[in-house]
Amino acid sequence: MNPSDRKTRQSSWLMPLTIACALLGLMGTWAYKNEVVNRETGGGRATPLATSILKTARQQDDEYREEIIALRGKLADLEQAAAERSKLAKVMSDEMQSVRVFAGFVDVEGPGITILLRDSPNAPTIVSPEIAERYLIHDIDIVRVVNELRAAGAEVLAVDGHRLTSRSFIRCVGPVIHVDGVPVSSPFTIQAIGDPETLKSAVDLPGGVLSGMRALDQEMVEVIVEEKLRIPAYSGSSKIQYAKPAEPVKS
Amino acid sequence: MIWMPLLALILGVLIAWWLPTPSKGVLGNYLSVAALAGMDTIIGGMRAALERSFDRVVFASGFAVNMITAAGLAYFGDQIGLDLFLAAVVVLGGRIFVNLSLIRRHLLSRVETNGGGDVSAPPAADPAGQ
Repeated sequence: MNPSDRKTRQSSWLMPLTIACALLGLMGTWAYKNEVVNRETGGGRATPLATSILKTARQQDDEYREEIIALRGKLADLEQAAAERSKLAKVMSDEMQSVRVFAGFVDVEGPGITILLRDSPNAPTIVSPEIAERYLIHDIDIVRVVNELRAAGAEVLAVDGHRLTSRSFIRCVGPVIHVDGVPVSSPFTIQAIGDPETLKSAVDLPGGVLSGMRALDQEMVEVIVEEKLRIPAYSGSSKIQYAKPAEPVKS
Repeated sequence: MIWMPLLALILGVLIAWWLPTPSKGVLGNYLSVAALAGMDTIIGGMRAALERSFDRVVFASGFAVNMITAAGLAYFGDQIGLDLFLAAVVVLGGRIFVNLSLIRRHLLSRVETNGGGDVSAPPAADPAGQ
C-alpha cells in the first residue's frame, strides 16, 4: 500500500465522520436542552401541549374566581343601599347576611384553631411504596380532620384558604389533593372557627384523627390555637341546576 | 487528523448551545432517540474505518435512515401507546457497546504490532482484527 493510497482512504472516512459528529453534537445538545425544558415544565414525552392547556385553564379559573367575588360584593352593596331606604329591607338584609355566613359567601372572623398537616420530611428513603405512602398526607386524612372538627362544633372551615361549604369535596387526583377542584399541596392548613378548646381537645383525642400521623412522625402535625382567625369567602360556583324548592307538605 | 471529528463534535455542541432550541414542540421529544441513532452510526463508521471497509454512501445513508427510523419508531410507539422507542434504545445501545469493544480490540492489536507506538498514526499493515 503506497502513501497516496493511504491518504485517499483516510480522507474518505474522515470527512463524513466529521460532518456526522458535528450533527450529533448539534442534535444531542438540542435533545438535552429540550429535556431540561421538559423537566422544568413538568412535561415529558408528548405533553407540552397538555401543560399549556392546563396553564391557560388555571389562569381563566383564577379570573372567574375574582369576578365571582367582585359580583357578590356588588350584590351585597346593592342590598345594603336598599336596606337604608326601608325597614323591611333592613330586616331582610340582616337575615341575608346570616344566611351568607352559613353558605360561605362572606369573609368571617372569630376564635378557632389552625391545624397544619405536612408530608413527613423524615420518611425513610429506601422502603417499600406501601410504607412510604404512610409518611404522606392523603385526602382521607384531611377529610377525617374536617369531619372531626365539624362534629366538635366548628362553624366555619377552610383548607389552604379555600372555604368549605355544604357542597365541598376533598379528594385526591393523582399526586395532588383537590379541594372543590382547586389543587392544594403539603403543608395543608386546616382552619376552623369555633370554641378553640373544644376543637383542640376533639382533634387531640387519644386514638383520634391525628394520633396515627403523630405516632409516625411528630412533625407531620401541628395544632395552633388562634384568638382571632379570618377565613375568606367561598369563591367557587354556587349554581344549582337540579334542586328546586319543594312545595310545603300539607299535613 | 483523528481529532477533526472530535473538534466537530465540540463545535456542534457549542453551536447548539448558543442557538435557540428550534423544536419546542412534540418533535423535540424524538431528538434524543435520533441522536442515539446518530451516535450508533458514527461509532459503526469508526469501526468500519478501522476495518478498512468504510463506505461513505453506506455511512451517509445509514446516518440518515437510522435517525429517521429511530425517531419514527418512537413516534409510532407514542401513537399506539407502546414504548417502541425502547426497541431503538436497546438495539442501538447494544450495538454501540459491541462496536466500541471491536474498536478497542483493533486499537489494542495495533498498539501491540507497533510496540506501543502512536495509536493515532495511520495503520501500517492490516492488523486483521479479531
